[in-house]
Amino acid sequence: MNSLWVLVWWVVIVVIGYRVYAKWAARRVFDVDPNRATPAKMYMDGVDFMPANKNVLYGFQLNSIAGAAPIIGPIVALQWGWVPALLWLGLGVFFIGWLHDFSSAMVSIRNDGDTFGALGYKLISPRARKILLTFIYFYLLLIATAFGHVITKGVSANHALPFPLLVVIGVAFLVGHMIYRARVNIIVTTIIAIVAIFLSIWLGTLWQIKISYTTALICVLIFGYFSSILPVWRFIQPYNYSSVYVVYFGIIAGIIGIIIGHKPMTLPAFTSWTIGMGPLWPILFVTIACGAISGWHSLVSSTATSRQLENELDVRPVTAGAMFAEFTISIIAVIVVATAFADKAAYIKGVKNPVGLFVGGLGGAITSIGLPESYAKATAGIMILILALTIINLVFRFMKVASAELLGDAISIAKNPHIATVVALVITFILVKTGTWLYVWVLFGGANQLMASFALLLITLFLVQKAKNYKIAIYPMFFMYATTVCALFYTAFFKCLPAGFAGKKVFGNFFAAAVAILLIICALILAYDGWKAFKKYKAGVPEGPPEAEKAAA
Amino acid sequence: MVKPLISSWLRTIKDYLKGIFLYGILSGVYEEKRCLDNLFMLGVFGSTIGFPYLFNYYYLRLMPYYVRRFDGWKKQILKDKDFFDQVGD
Repeated sequence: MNSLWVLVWWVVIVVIGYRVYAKWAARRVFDVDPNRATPAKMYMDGVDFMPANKNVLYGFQLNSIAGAAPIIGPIVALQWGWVPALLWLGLGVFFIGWLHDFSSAMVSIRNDGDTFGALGYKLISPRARKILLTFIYFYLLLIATAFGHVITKGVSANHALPFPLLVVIGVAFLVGHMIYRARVNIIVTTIIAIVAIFLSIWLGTLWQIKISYTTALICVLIFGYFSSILPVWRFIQPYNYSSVYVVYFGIIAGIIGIIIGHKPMTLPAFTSWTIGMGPLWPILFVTIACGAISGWHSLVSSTATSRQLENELDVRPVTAGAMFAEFTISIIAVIVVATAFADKAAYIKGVKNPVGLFVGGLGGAITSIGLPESYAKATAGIMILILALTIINLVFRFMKVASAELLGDAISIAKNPHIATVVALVITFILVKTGTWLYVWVLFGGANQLMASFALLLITLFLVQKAKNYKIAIYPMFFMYATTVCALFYTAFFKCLPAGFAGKKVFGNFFAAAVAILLIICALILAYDGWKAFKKYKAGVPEGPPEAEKAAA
Repeated sequence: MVKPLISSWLRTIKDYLKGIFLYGILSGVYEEKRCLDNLFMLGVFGSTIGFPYLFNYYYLRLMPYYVRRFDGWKKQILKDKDFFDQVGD
């Protein structure tokens, strides 16, 4: 089948999902009101709460949600064939993905821009906040492990990538200094950064650097340490700013390449109901997280975007619009890989190094627009490494704050940012070195989707509390809860533990299983508290924080 | 008819690009500015949120110029910070 037919599927999902279903839900379920004051207007402080144009916010939201996961997940899931991957991507984003992002922002907006920690406390129970934090810490650990391996494997396997990656990191420090300290004009700074990065990609193809897996991993973790410790303006922001140009160049060149090349899909449409990673349900549904539905988006929507939307009418184009754009990125990833390999054997050989698969696929598509093959492949490789490093940038920072919040009162040393970061780095190092990456990826996807289930639980409770049509959220929530808990259970008890008992990567597999079991326990406690809160709101108990209710009782 | 349409499209594209490329770093600049403003406000008008004020003279001289900022500043600086708010600090 020609790959252009996949674009027809994409158009159908986007047009009906965005123009019909999302529009209906925004009007009929959430009663979007352009005259209601948003938190951005009510609490305007010029930074966190600041009304912004919807088009600007759309770009910001897309940038914040689209990391490496919408590319890597679908690439790994092609093991079941491209039809199941495309079906889940399309149906997932249509029925759940956009709704999750949109509603997370709406619930936060209607609650004065509160984040999920505060919302969990208010809508579910006081202990929900602590459980959410515990969950988030281990969720972040899985993210760090999954993407730590992706970067390390990519850098150690492709010798053209270490040099440009070092330049990208160096340029980030330079850009931060030029903008914030030397006060150099931003246009001049941007031109210098772009020229340096694209030149380094070319030089990287000439000056190849060989680096071992362990050395690369240590370098990645040192990078993680600095991004956690340094002020945001010193490294993270300039890094995101200067590197995003490469990412969008890669995406645009890839789209043009797909259209020019319009190659047939060479990988099989469907392989089997069960593969090495597990059965199609539930494992495929967590292998592809971003692109269909991702819990990370609820954090972005409720923490940053909800405080900057100037009008409730803007919520749909910004959040749902960005979600459909991320779905588009996943579709591109499926096409470039499904058309790049002559047969399944060539694809399966490289599945443990998704960077390599993506480089082969996107590099080939970019070559169609006339760039030399070595340069096109290096650009594709750097693009995905940049996306993965963007996540590593934030993960250890989040972990540092989460451990201080969780343990700070009991163990004062946990409040020390250096200690908290080093502990997170050491655990990540051990899990990357001793774990089985494909299982860790499934656990990461499961944790990510479980985060989405929590968001859908909060959305359901909000809708019940306000006597709205909560069915729009409760059925997706049931589906996601069941799928993710089953996926975590399956991977822990049928993959990690048997592998550990068989003597394969013993420590890593047992550790991954323990993390999965902990996440399941957190999910069950939250589900129990959520069920009690649901019954309470159904019975019409007046809204208010749990403490106020206790005092009233 | 065509000209306004084209200019509206160009404006939309410009806004998209600003959101994708510039918005994050601009927020950082505003955050940096806010930190400096907070230091200044705390030093001069700290008494309004419970800090002892040190400079009566400057407090009174500057008060008329800054009184409009007080409401937003107090809300922002006294607001409870959740886990997610602390990541950027």
